[in-house]
Amino acid sequence: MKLSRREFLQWLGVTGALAGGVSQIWAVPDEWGEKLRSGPRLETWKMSTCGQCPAGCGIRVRLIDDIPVRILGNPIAPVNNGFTCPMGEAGLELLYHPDRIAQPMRRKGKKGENGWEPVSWEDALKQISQALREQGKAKPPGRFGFLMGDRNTLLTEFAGEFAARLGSSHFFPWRAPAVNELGLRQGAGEFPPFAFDLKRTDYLITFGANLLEEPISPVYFNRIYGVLKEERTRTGLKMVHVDARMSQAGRNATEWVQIRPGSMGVLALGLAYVILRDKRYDQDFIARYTQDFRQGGEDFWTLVNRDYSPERVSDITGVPAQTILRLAREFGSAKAPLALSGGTSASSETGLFSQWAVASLNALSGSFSAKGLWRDPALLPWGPSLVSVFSPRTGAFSRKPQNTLGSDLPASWVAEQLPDLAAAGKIPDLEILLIAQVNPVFQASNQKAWKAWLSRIPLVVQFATLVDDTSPHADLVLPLTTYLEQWDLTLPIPNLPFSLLGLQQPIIPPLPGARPLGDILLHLGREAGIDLFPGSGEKPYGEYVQERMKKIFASGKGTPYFEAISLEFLEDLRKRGWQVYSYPAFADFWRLLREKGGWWDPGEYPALDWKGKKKFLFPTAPRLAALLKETSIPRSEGGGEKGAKTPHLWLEEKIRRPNGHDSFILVPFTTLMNMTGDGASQPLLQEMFGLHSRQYWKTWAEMHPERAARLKLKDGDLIRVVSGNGAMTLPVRVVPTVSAEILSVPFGQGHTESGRDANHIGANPIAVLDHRMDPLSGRNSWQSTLVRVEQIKR
Amino acid sequence: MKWGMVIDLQKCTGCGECAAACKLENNVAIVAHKESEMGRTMLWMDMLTIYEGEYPRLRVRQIPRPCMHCDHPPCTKVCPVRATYINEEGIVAQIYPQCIGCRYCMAACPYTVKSFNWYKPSFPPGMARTTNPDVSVRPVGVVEKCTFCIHRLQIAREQAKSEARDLRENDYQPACGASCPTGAIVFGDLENANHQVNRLAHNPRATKLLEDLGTEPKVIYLKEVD
Repeated sequence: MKLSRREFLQWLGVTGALAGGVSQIWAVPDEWGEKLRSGPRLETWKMSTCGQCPAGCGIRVRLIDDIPVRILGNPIAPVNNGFTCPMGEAGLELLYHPDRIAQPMRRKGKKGENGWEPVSWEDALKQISQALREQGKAKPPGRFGFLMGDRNTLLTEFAGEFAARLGSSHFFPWRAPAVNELGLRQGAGEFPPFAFDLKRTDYLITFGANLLEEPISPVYFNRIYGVLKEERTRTGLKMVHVDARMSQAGRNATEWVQIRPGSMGVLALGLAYVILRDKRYDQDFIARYTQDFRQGGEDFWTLVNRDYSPERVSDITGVPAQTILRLAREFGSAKAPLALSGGTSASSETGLFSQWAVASLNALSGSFSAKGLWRDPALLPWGPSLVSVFSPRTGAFSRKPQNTLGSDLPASWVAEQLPDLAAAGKIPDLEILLIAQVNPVFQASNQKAWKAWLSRIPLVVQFATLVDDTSPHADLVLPLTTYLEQWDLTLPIPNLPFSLLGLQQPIIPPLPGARPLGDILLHLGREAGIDLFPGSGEKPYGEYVQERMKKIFASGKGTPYFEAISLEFLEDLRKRGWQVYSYPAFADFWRLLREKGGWWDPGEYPALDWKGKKKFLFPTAPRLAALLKETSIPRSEGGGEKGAKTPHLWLEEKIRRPNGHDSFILVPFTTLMNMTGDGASQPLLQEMFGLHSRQYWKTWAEMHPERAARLKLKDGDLIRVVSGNGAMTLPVRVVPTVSAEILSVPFGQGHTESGRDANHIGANPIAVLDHRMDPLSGRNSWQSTLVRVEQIKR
Repeated sequence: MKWGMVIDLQKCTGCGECAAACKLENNVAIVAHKESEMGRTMLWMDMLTIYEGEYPRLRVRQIPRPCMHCDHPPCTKVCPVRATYINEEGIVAQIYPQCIGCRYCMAACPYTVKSFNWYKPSFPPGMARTTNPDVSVRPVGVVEKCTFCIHRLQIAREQAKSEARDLRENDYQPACGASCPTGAIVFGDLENANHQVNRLAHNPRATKLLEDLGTEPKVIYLKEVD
């Protein structure tokens, strides 16, 4: 019998009903209905940590008769102080999703087709552990890969350990980079990047960094922006946002500077030119802590003075020379200037170059020496985490402690390029690939390559809560619990100036059929002869989380979350030997953790001190040339040889300009309602998808009024957007919040398989992008595709 | 006692959390994509976007918009069955069983805050569990709108009574105000000199939407100054 997925679910529902009423088709057990109607209505609250994005917000779940009915913010969680974002509020829609997978499924028919048959958990796990054992015996080993959406939790580290213990270095975490991650990795050798304290700056310039809608910690940054916006009327703080589209960061800034996509690094170096010419740079910092500034020959000084005059920068970026002069003078004369690069700055072919240039602006202007503005993230009391890294020289993957990456890159940067790396022979032909918490066939721009690569791997196993666009290309799909039914720990959030561990604990037991990934990995490990939690017998992942917290308890550092008091007051109390909570034994500490929702170190990270740090490297032509020559990241076009002497100019050639009255640069953007595309499965987030544009449940295209007038388009007209890689039909929104050269389209819709509320709604702009990447970081470019626009007569 | 709200646009970042919290708190129906195309999306708390000037001087104002709970509400005057009325504490309330669905009130409201239930409430099996048990789900054919989360006032009153004390300022906060990450939405008694709203309502930045219509809204905005 060959069944489609839908038929399979229907079949399960029917048999369930026939067998006596416990239907497996819907995740919520039937008896709950009765309980809700006639229960004693006892209200309880449970604390946990949100898992919709990696931001680490504490949540407080309201239960009536043990049935979760509402998610609110945990008032004492340091990231969000009691607030959430719309995604956080919508969590129960994921928990109760009617399309949750209820049983393991095995593919029937060819890959890409959607035929499934149910299998038991035992059979499915047996098949995987057997395949894992066999690949372990192969010579050379390492024919096993694990691709995992990294939600900044302990589980990612645990999964990496699982892969490593099975002899594979092919653990590929998948996540968006933090703010400044590319630039500070390159310029300062730091990973994770330094944290910053926005409240201490007197001039903020954000290059593409849309802190209010990026998945780093939107609630935290919305809170801080609220404070900054109010205070700036008194302090005169300037907030400048540089981007081709006026995102929420632009709307909440004091000034929005339109820029051509991909040219942010050029603008940063243009500002550097004026700062150098005006001699407003931090000579002391540069002399003591930097390298390649002005040692002679092809140094930073030469590069900037020769190639980044305001006139030339204006021509490349589209920013008027006068604006460049003004911004540079304002930035250069500020006491605590802060330049941040994130979001769109990282998703272009010049991503690493751009962020490096922005980082050097901070080195130049004295930002790094401004008191308390930058913070040095302290390691957790249990020591450095091991992260998966990629060597750009050899193309090999390995694991290293987070603070000793050397010349390697975080593997998450190149995760989108796995099919290309496999084609280039950098990854061996895998026998088995595990995929969890990520949907590469939807999220990557090279979707055809992903499908082809997945079809070549004999056993692709996907762990997922809902069937998604990647599922048809898997051989086995195993149902996972949501973050509301499992144990985990959210790790410290990059860019935030304090340390924390958010406790995720089951609000309710796993719904029928689903299992937590941690427990599955423990089981598979034991079957394959490795013990990821030694001496525990058959203990579950929750106990492992507890075991890790014992190290934090033993260190005596930090405390379970507590009610807000000022840090100065706390410091006074501490000096007098006062402890916030008293927990003589671990059991007390653990009880408090569960009650309060997490652990944090209320002292902020120490202020950044460059003594003992590596010298900051300024970008120079020879250094860029060496990076381009060495990198083994596959190129979408000819290598960097021709740019050996002028690599920056070679990179600048990749900045696109429209070529005709109907030509635009397609720039996808993300919204707070749906940052990774997963939100489309949740009706609340669909209904609020384009809250600010009044566009709900759809994809639209934003166009500048001048261009729309020239094309005789009115707001709401349907257009066809054609790239070299496909086409999509969308309604146009005529708005002044995009530059005239771009067509901006929200990312998140266009699913074919992601639950009833997501399927066949809108279009996925990523699917029509040309596959271009940044040769230095490996990140896919979202800003390199020229499209033509045709009007469709209604 | 006169309940009112102040929204400080200088603090608001337009994150939309107020709108999400409102939808979940009040079990506002999700109408899905086909109905949404017909303009039937229901948002008791909406977000207005206003473009001012041209680049490089372009400013975008984002204005959260609940029901204004007018002191002279145009909606109550046109209701033929007194399904909508203003209570003695200033809240413009709606009696769903009394509503005949004529939608006169929707036409009369200059702020377009009211929505009509075109559909019978239906949930995929299981999804009904996500409703807030404190608020009833509206039947098909009636008009609904923001209630200032009046159910929270009832709960707060009962709590205060059981503790034999008066209602305190923060006891009663609507979901939008309680969930605003920047503290831009402040709620309280406009007639109580000790309440923050009373002080903020007299701020020089204070303004009301469509003030010249004489509706006397009790939602007061504090203008952005930059």
